Amino acid sequence: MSESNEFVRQVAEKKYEFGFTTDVHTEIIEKGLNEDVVRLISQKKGEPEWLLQFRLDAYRYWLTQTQPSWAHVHLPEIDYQAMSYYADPTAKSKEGPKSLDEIDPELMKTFDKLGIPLEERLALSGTAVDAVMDSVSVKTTFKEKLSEKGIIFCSISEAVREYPDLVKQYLGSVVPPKDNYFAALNSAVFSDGSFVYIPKNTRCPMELSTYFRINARNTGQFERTLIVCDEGSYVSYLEGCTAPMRDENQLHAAIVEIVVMDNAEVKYSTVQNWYPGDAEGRGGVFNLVTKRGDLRGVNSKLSWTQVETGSAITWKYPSCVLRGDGSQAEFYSVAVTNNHQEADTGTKMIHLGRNTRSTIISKGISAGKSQNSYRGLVRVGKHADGARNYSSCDSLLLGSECGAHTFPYMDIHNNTATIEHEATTSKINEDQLFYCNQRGISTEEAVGLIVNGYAKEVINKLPMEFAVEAQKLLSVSLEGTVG
Amino acid sequence: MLKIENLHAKVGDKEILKGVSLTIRDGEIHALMGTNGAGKSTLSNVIVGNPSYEVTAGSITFNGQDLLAMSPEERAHAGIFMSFQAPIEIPGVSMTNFMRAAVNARREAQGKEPLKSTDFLKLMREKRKLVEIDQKLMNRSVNEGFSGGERKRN
Repeated sequence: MSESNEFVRQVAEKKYEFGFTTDVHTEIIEKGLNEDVVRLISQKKGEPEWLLQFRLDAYRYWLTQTQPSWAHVHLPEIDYQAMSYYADPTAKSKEGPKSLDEIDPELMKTFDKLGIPLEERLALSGTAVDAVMDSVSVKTTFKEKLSEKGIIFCSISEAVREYPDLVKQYLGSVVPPKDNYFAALNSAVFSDGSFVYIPKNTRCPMELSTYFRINARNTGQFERTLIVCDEGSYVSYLEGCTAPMRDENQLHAAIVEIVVMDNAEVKYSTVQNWYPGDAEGRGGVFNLVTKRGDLRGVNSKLSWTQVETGSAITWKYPSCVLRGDGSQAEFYSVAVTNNHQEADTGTKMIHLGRNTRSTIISKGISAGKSQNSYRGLVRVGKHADGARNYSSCDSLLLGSECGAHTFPYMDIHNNTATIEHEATTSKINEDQLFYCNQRGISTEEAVGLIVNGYAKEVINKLPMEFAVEAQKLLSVSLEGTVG
Repeated sequence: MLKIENLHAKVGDKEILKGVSLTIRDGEIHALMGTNGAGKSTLSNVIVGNPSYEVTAGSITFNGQDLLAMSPEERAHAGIFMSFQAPIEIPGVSMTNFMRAAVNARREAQGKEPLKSTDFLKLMREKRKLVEIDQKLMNRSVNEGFSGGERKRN
């Protein structure tokens, strides 16, 4: 169809809105990875001996492993010596920024431009932000206000200095350094990310969020986030990410660990919009992420919601270990791939406690020449009496050159379990488009409308401001993909 | 005025319209009757620009404008409206959102500002009474759970 070629061309010319770079003095350590680099990162952060040892153990284990290749993506052999592992855009001030006056105005401008004002009076009402650029947290807002309730919200580097006992107790307890190849790499060289601790019986009064920005060239970003929600508490946490447009690929290998105690509840939402590469598949971020929540307490709840529109390659399976009796977990996902993007994403629900429940709702949307895979595991352990899982995986194809794949795994060791799985694959319907056209709605807008309708179940799970953003993002990511 | 002259159209390889001419002046109501397969639906679909149909010869003008050169949405903006025999469902898209998108698309084509939410809801209340569609349907997804009659009026 000549018309669809025309649309493909239009997509190729589509602009990535966050592709600018920030011109700021950045201290970047030399390229390459070895024990000295691991020691240097630890030293720069002024870390205690145990953490250096944690990193070195992870590094030595990583050396013995090879890059996994089971995912349905074409991840090249990454040259780990060709990138730098630490870039500090705040390097001018020795101690790190103390007040806003000390932050480079260029950095402030960057985050303003991204819609994340770091001045509290300008901030989105009810949202506290930890802003991370490259390897360093630039600023965390509303820290003092939150601390009145005993809530700790700061960068992980600061947490290591200020709350070493808490960090030592929980770091690596959900995702051990030897969990997988990229987890080992992250554990060796992680730089910044957020730390959240919600004390007992506290409802966090604001949305907490972290905004990750990659800026420096040839640098990997190794985010590390740790959230601990103590008994009877609640927190809603959001994560956003963008990166400049560059011809070479950049690596973002993150670990997020969440610990949920008795009767506590955590909602974790992600809007991932890393640079996806250009229409020919040049550049873009490799997003290789291990996210896991440990529902340690009885009746604890954890909900992952993700809207994945960016990255050249996504390798990400936010998972839940349902350890506590009566714990409940949810995974809601929309993954959009366009052009040459490849996404292999899904979840793992590990039922260990009694009467545990999990829900998986996954919506994949593929366009262009992209490949979009859902990969999920539901495991029910021997003692997990009365476990229930409901999974629903839908794929929507736009155009005829893309692919959608579903790889559901089930591993059930208890015959009282109730497991349901539904899956559908559909193409965007010509009749729907024509019906919209006939009512005066352009094809472009109709695709946005239909895709947003398709993803609504997931979008509805996001906090309101982010739901609006996500809707726009979905429409923009797919602009002009249907002829 | 809608003017159709010597219209030929086919679906796939099959020619269905073989030289239709018809003039409808302002204010006139016409009913087309014919046996199954005579081409009534084909003619309607060609007028609104359904891409499944290919026009091989002839012309259609609407108030002097060449309809065949216009996209389906441009024809809709010009005021051509088709009541579908079996309109399709659009899951997850509420009637309210769908109607607002349609109304505002037409307003944009006419160079008008999009309607504010409150004005739109008011307009929808008025028009809904006219076609006797229940308020409850407005929060449902497009055509989902509509009866046959309700769909045709949508």
